[in-house]
Amino acid sequence: MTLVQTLVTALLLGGIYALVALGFSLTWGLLRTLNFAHFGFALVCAYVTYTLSATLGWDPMLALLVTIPLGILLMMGLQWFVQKTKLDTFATLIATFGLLLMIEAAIAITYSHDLVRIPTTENPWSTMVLSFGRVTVPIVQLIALFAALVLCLGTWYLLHRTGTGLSIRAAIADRPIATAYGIDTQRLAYVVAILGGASVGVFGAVVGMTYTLSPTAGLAWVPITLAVVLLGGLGNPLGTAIAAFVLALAETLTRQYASPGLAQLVSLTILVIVLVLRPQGLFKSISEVKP
Amino acid sequence: MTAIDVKAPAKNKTASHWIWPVVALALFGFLLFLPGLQGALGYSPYLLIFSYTVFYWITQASSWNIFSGFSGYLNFGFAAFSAVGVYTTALMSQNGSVPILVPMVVGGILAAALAVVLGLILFLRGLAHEIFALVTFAITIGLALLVHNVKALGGPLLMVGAVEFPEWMGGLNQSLYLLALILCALTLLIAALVQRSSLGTGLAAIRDDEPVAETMGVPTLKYKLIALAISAALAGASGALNAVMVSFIEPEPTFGMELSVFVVLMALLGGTRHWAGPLFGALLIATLSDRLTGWGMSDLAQLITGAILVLIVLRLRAGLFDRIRHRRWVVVPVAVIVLLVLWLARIVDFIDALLYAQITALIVLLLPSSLFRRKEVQRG
Repeated sequence: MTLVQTLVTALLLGGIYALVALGFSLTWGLLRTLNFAHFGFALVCAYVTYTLSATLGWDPMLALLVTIPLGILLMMGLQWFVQKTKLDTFATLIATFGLLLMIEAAIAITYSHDLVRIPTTENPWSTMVLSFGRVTVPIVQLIALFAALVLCLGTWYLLHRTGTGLSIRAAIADRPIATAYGIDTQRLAYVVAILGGASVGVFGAVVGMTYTLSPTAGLAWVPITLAVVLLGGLGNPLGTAIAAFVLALAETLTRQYASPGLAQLVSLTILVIVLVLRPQGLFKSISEVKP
Repeated sequence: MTAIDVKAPAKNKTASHWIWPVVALALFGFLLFLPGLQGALGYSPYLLIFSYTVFYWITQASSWNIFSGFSGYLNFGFAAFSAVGVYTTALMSQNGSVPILVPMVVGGILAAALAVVLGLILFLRGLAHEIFALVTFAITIGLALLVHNVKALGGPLLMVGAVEFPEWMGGLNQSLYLLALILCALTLLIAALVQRSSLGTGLAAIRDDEPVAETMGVPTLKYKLIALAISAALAGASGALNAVMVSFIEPEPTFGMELSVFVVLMALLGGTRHWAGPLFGALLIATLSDRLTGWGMSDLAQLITGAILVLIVLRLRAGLFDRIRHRRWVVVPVAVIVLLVLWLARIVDFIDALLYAQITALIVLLLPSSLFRRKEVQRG
């Protein structure tokens, strides 16, 4: 593999990392919900994609039309639950972890523990690549990268260039004062949940199209997501995107020039080193992490 | 949430002063001689293995609680400490037979050393709250990957070699049972002593408000490190023993989420402010998960585990033990009667009876407080 191919692979992988991390980062940074069920929601979306195309014969890309609304619905449902029960961040960590365990078990009961994958006959996208000379680009991952960039830039635009974003940031900075100025913080929370839900929906569909699925597959994404989110700064969409690409590059280079088994270790080492040197992460969080 | 201990009415206090330690001691003595009575009572050999599992979980959950429960620093990667013990036994037994007490002690010391190093890094950087939880989680996954990739540390698969047990303990299962029982009792004793010492008071102050505790002269860093080292040492020793039980050691399950999450779950369910909380949480979860797995419903066990986590956060923030305390004169007799009736009348076997007794107790605990004569103190 040439260096150019390695860089392209890293860029594409970074797109997927950014997708999974964006929703997690937004709910944590903006809604104060440390949402482990994120991975469960993604897994549900991935299995829905699998069922739609492997069982019902849909084109997997069409599954996005289902998974995005599904992701949004799940995320809004969670937000409703958290608002209703007034959980603090710490409590949401435990409760959503319980939710993740429940989702995993429910999937295991429904689909069994077997590894499943959409057959290639049903999934023309999985073998489709763009070729530029000796560099090949898988289409699905390219679409994921595009979606990640759109979502990250769109979220940044929403947060920093629109009135809604100003209100959201005001609500984070000081909720009582924001409420006193007539900002409906609860309604804004749903706006953030919709963004997170959309990224979960896209991510789940991409995972369903590209990877082999099992009920425990959701957990495999936890370490890299934590690394990206903590490095990128909570609720900072651009930081998330940059951190995703940096970590993806580090992992791809390790996989290429050292050993594939060490790739994840490199990400976690970077995370621990950065956290020890700069506990606030590489990029500015949208707000301070407070108890 | 400042009161740590609510005083019981005076007439009960004099009674409970000696009753509960005596009950605990009697129970410990009975459990010590249980394997010797095996033939006379006619229970299945599986009971010893089941008891071992329960003791193991109580040890893990209680040792987790010594640091994380008392200080409020939620450690989401506790498996790392027991994994140190597991790998100590596995690696030490590679070249010829080794007496089990050696890896237990060495594993405990190594785990404590790891705890102090990690603790210094995390505490000096001021990582707390959810960041602390996530970083401990990430570090543990990183350690698993490290062990997986470095042959000298264990590699992807390691088999535990020959391990010697003290002669007088009898067969393998019996030895495992006795050692786990003793370690479990030791852990509970240490947890109780820590809670009653100035260390425990200091940790409670850290939990309630660390900056204030620091200002009032609590040596917070020292206390956190000591507590973390104690809890890691006990978990390491317990892990070293558990290596014999597991025997095929793989990094992922050893450092796995399951252990880390179960420990947190048990402690939170039982209640983290009192040393006895994790005991009840671990007993309930271990029995439930053993039975459900035995009935071939491990997925259902996971579903229930998840539901319990949600339930704790919503309804049981103070933990079960807080309620047991206020209803002890009802709950304990009810549970014991259900257990004895079901078991001695041979309606179900002992482990099933234990599960049903606990579920009955749980129902009593969840009844609204208006049903009970004595006014309860509402907290949490």
